[in-house]
Amino acid sequence: MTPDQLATKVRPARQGRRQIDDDRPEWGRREDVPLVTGQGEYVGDVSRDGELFLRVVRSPVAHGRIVSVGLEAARAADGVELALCATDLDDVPEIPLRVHNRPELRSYLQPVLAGSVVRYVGEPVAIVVGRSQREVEDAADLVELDIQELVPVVDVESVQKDPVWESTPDGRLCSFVARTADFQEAAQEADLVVTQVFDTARDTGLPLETRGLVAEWNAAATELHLWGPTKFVRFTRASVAEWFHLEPAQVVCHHVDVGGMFGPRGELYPEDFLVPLAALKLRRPVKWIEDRNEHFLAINHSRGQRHRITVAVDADGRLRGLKDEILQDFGAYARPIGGRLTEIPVEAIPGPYRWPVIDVTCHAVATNKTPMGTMRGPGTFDAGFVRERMMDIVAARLEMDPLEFRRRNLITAEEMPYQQDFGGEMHPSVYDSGDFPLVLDELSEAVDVQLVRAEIHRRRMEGELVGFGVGLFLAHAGLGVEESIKLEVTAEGRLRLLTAGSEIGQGLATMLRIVVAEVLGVPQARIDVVTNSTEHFDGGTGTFSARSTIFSGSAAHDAAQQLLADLRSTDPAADPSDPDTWRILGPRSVIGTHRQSSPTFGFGVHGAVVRIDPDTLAVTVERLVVAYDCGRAIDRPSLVGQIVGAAMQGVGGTFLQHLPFDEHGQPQSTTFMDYLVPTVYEAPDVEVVLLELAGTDSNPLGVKGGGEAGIMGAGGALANAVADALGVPDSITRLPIGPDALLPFVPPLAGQDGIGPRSCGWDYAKRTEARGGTLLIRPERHVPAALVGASAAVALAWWWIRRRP
Amino acid sequence: MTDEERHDGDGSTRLTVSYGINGKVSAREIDPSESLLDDLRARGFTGAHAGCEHGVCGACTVLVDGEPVRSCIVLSVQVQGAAVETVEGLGTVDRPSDLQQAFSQCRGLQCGFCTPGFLMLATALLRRDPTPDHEAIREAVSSNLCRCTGYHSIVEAIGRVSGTPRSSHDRG
Ligand code: FES
Ligand code: FES
Repeated sequence: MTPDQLATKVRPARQGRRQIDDDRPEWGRREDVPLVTGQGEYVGDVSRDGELFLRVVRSPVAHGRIVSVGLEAARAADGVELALCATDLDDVPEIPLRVHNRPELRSYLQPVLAGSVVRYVGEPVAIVVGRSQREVEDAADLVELDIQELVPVVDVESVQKDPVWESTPDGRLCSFVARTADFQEAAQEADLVVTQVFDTARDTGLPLETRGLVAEWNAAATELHLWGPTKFVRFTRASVAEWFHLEPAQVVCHHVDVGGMFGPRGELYPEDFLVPLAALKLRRPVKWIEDRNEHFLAINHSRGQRHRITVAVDADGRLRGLKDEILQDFGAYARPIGGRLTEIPVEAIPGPYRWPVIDVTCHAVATNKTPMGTMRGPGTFDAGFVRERMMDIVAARLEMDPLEFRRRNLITAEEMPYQQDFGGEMHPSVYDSGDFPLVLDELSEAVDVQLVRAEIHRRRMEGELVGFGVGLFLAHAGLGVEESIKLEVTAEGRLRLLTAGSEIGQGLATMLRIVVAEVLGVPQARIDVVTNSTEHFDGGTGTFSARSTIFSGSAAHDAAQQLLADLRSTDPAADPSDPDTWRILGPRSVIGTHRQSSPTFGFGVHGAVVRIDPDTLAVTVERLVVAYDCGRAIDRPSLVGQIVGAAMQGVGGTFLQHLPFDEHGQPQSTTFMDYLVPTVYEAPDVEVVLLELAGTDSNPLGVKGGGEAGIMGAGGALANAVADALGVPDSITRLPIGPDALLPFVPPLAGQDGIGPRSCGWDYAKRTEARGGTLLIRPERHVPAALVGASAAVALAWWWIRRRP
Repeated sequence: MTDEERHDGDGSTRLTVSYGINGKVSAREIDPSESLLDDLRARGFTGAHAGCEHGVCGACTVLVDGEPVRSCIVLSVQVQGAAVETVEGLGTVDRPSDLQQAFSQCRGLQCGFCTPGFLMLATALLRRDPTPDHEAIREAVSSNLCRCTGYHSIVEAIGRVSGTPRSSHDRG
């Protein structure tokens, strides 16, 4: 079947969809038009003639030896066409690495179906394929799993009684070491040395749309069509092609709309093999849509770090050295991101400060939990929380203003480009440009720090628990070395950009149109963009690490310049704004490229004001301000949207989101009743100060990353504000911050011990009295009674309380 | 109950459920345990999305007799004879409603997966109260989850249609 034949098979409801020109002011982005009218086509909306449905049978235990997988009952069930497990396959492929910085991780790859051992709850063990979703779900329940349980490893520091990997009894799968000099020496010379342990809980990016995949082979089984891949479309396609002994060009990824990516969506997973396999065996289209419960078990988790950090400093506030021993909960298997997950926290922990000595190690520790991958701000969010908390703690010990303490150690504009060395075993980071003190000043001005502090002082005198904190961050962005994009002039004189990069709601298509329109001087209305597809063009590395504007934008810029040169050489007098000009030049196409070997570094600061209700321990984020130097903004509204959305995920990661496991390795957060996402009531009105400081010459647009900046300093700033509100600098040492973390530090209820200020000004008097009373959580959070499911709030509160240790 | 009921040889029951969708009567034979969400999507109305299928995220929100419901936890048989409204009924690509355009103008969506649900909440709100204050808009949208936007642009979009001024509530 050719793609054209396939294309004609879309269901009638979709035929009304057509392109709209986006220079009409009634629309913000052209891409919005189908999405607000119910005409979007997400993978769940893709429906193929004769399609079958697939259900993955997953391990119910965290660690065990598979004795047998009984498929007879499932095979005999109504509507079932196929049921199989690992022993039914001649060859059980593994999920490969995409990042090869730690080749030893090849020993810990995940088979697409577990054969002899299961290593986490949710690991695929079998599949059932049949005529309807409900039939395969029922049949999957009939699969009999006989698993001999082993002792699961759930903590990164516990002894591995039954090691996750027998070959590696200590569970350390890979390590990164950055040592520039002897930290001990630096510590001995310093006036003050402070050590603290911090934890960030497991979390996940959580796109609102779960994963999904539709696979369909042509009759000769020489061509595989996929709907659903995103993010790394090219890597997914190449891996799938290799599994099925095809050339990449024989695997065609079709465009679908994507309901959020945030890191985990679009990575390679076992289903990327299992769904095409079923389609091949049955010669029918096969559709798999993940449900929310399996999403929580199966999609990459992230965060999950323990830091034992020591800072050495002089009495005048000059930093002397940084030591950090990081344990990264790695989950059961290495996922495609490989050792990168273990490397990023090491690179990120120094941040924007001058450290004469650093001594940082990070070990990836295997656990019997869902494998780890990225989520927005991977490693950087964690490191930012740890470092910025530490800066406040040290400043308090020095009795120094935390902003002033930071200023004394910030790398200055004059020192740019600044090389952060990591010793002989790791590449240095080169901060290409920026003016960190200026951005901090801008933040201070936007917040009006003096006024805010005065106000906080006044409110504390009246008995309120309020605090202010900042979090500084460096946003490395633009990995992935190269990107290409195709720009076509059609016979009708329209311009068309083609990329395998993904529109995931971030505004890729709009940004590309703006870049090309600017170079060529044509209205955006005449430029079309096709994303997330290899149908017409298969260049492009992908959409990750906040790289799209840097890489795809620069490649589009290059393509447009080539086209302009073509036009000029054909007809120097041609008017680019005249459609006929392009009709005469077309049809033709050019390939634009961009290469860049090291990332750009954006810099930003979060400032937060929070209030703690001493009676309920609910935390209200009164203000969240983000100042960020993005180099240059191409599409300001989209960039602001990215920063605000990311900041909100930072609020979620700081106060709500958590994927805990019990001692048996059973995940405790597997529905939206347990895993809490910020609602409008938890959402502060994020204020964004966007700075466009020229300086980066890594790309022709002069841009830095935008998609992740909003989250990177959020955890640090919010946690610092909470600690400030409590008046106890070292009170907050783990994320998320639940009521239990606050309880020991909140002064007794007013009225019990008379009325008086609970916390005063900037004196950091230690307060440790616990108070009694009933724990209530997030009293403002509720579901309107008009809606079915009104009991959610009660259950939500109940679950939150129950799952806390 | 429904007008038609059929027992298949294998013991399963199929029945025909009919109700109005955006003003047009629609009849389909269903499994009695089918959710309204699955049924609507099978009838070609794929604007309502499955974000969780357990009644929390609101991506599946549609109106039944004018009230927002989470269609993933309503059985299709429960709406026999009712008037169901979905995002497809609010406006089309060629003739969008002010509300749909306001969401786009205010960047009230990024990935758009949650958007149909929010549009239906807003539709019900504005019918009940064409000039809601800022707090009433927040209350109305507090039931649904959006993972992309941070909500304020959604509140702003609804406020643009109703002429509601932005409030300083958020600052504390
Ligand atoms: S899908 Fe219905 S509430 Fe989430
Ligand atoms: S726009 Fe993506 S979830 Fe709301």
